[in-house]
Amino acid sequence: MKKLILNITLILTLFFIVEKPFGLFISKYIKEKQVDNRIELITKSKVVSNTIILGSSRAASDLTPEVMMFGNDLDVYNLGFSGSNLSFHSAVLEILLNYHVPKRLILVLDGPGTFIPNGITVFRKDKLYSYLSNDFVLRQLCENSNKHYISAKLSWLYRENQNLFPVLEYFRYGKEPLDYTNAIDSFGHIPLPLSEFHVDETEYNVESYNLKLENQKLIKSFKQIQSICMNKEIQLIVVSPPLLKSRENGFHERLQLLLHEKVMFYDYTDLIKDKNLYFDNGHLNAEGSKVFSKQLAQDILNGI
Amino acid sequence: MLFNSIDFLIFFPLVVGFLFVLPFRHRTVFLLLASYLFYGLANGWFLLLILLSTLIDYLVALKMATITDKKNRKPYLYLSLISNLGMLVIFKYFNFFNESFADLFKLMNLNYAVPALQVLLPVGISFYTFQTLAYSIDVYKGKVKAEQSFTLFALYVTYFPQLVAGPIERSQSLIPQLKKPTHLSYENATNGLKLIAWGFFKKLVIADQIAPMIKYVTDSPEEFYALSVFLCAVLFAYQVYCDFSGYSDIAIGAAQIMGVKLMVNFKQPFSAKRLSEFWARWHISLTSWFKDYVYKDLNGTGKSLSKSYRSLWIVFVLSGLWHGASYNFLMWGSLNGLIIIIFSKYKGQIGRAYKFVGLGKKSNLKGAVQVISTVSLFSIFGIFFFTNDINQAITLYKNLCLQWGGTISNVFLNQQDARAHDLYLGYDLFRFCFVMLSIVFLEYVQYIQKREKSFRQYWDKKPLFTRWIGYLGILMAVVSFAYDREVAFVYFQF
Repeated sequence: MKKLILNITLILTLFFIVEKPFGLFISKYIKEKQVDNRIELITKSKVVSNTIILGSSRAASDLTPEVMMFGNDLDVYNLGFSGSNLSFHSAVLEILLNYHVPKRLILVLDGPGTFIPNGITVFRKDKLYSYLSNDFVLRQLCENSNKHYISAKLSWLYRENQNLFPVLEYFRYGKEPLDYTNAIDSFGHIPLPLSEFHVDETEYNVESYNLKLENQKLIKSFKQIQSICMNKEIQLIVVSPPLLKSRENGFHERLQLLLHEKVMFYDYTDLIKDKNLYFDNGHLNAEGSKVFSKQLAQDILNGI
Repeated sequence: MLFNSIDFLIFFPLVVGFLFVLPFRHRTVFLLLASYLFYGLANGWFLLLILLSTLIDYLVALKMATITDKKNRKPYLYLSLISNLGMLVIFKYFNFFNESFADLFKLMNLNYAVPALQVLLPVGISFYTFQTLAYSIDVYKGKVKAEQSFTLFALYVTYFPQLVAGPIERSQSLIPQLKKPTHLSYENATNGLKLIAWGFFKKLVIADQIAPMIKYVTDSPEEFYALSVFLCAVLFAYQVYCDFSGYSDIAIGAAQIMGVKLMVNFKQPFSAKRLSEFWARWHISLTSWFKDYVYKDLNGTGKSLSKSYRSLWIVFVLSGLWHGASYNFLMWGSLNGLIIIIFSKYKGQIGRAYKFVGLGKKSNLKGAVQVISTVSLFSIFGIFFFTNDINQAITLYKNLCLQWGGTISNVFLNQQDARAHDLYLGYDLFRFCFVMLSIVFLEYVQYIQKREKSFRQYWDKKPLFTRWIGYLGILMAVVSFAYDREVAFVYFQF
């Protein structure tokens, strides 16, 4: 029995000694692979704007902080992440608040897909994997996945295991390639090119908003964002961005029931109907984004 | 609770720790409660079901034991059969047959109003019902005595290492072991831990890394042809082997630590030279169950060859259905049975064909050809196993025969990154090479196992430093691939 316990203890001790350098190595180089390093900027207290934008690609591409800030005292940074859902936005907000409390938060919604899983927006764990050496990021990942927090604290290899192959790819191919989901500018914005046009003009039926399809975790995340903002005295502005073909299906009615009375809601769904300002049916191109950003900034400053 | 979860890594040492500290008279109850906790965490309702099954078979066996005349025992046997198979039919097969009838009625333009049942399949139901059925049948036949202790019998049914995915243990093997006082032995503990580590390695490092490649193909099967389909089929064979045998190793290793020897469930099936031999080496506890409780009764005296073939085919069809309530599994089982019958019936002609091409009995190459063809056959039939429905399977079978030249040239020329699609099946070069290397490593271990009769004994002769580097390497590999998604074992769905 003593021999067994001794051997188990010895092998575990050896393991924890040997695995640490591997974990450290992976965590160092995975960060260097990233093109979109906004999470790292947050954890280094480099995101200090008084207005933060949260949302999916519709936030990242549709809102240009540079335009919003032009000629006024707004200081804006875009933390929209393509393909991310409300739970992820809530997680990013919670990570941010450990380093900086903004005055204002602009939460860009995805229409009915905000509360109903659509297979397009998910909790973007992959955006957090590269920064798990940060405890706040690790906690958020563990709360939203099956990763075990204590095991990740004990074993750095376990903590970084998802980054093993990406690090090998980094040594072979260098930084990750730029694409429409990570080509951020210095304000976190991802402008979509005018040269590409993916608008689909065919007519389609809009299904009524179905409460039964709502995901309770997303509802909870939405309430959590509102609650955090109330507690931290952050002005929360919830925004429905422009859509080329907007058809009301009951989503906004549902939204009104979930919105706290102190939260401002701006509906820009019908703001832009010129298809030349769109990259595709749901995303504005760089020019369209300027129009939307200007309008939003004006409305914020006018307190509408 | 999954084996490949942090919960189990906490649960198991605690159970072992308490088990060997408790006086022996309390161990049965403790293990039973631990097994119920292990099972009940999945769903509390499943626990009620297994308790019901346990109670029925316990009482039925006790009653049969008091009846000397076999004929008078029959009603009780039927009660056990109906209750166990009834549960299987309701939870596993009702919707399948219901949909089939609905389709048939639709074809005949008739109304069919029986709704589908909205039920979850209880985890492990196919395993524990077969285990308790074997017990009831053995008591009926007088092969085993009815177990008097309810707690001991209940533990036999729910013993957590083998509860959810086997091995399907016979009462005459497991119950006596559960009765016997055991002590924590260094040899059992270390050998058990090594087997558990190897099981986790097969599951996490090999099976779970292959799974995304299979999904890549099944997400859009119409895009894959020839080499890609064949490669997917072979990879799936390795995935399901590593997944299931990995689970079995963890179960056997866990039981070994607790002083219980479970049956071997896999004996290097990929070194089989015939499909019949393959099935004698794969999921042995199930194939032996079907042989003992279905085939032998169907076959009778075994003097009629046609009856033997018919019985064999029925067993394979049932085995297919055991795996799943769908036409895919039905076809899979039928094809396996059919091919075995054909190969058996035309054994002589096949032997002559081998000789004709220069592969006589003493030819080493013949062995290799036989092994490769057996694995290929199993893999190709496995397309029914991993596709979602018959239509998908048909698409892949059709595409398997098309564009061999095109696929191979795509892979060599790598135009428009075709290699990532057609060869790496969604992976990049690193991950693909890693999967291949891990399969080579697995085959190497199996080769040593075959050559030395026991890999463990071969390994134990190595110097201490080499052994510890190996253990460390396995541990690091397992931790490196213990991703944050807990991928359930493939056989949990059965």
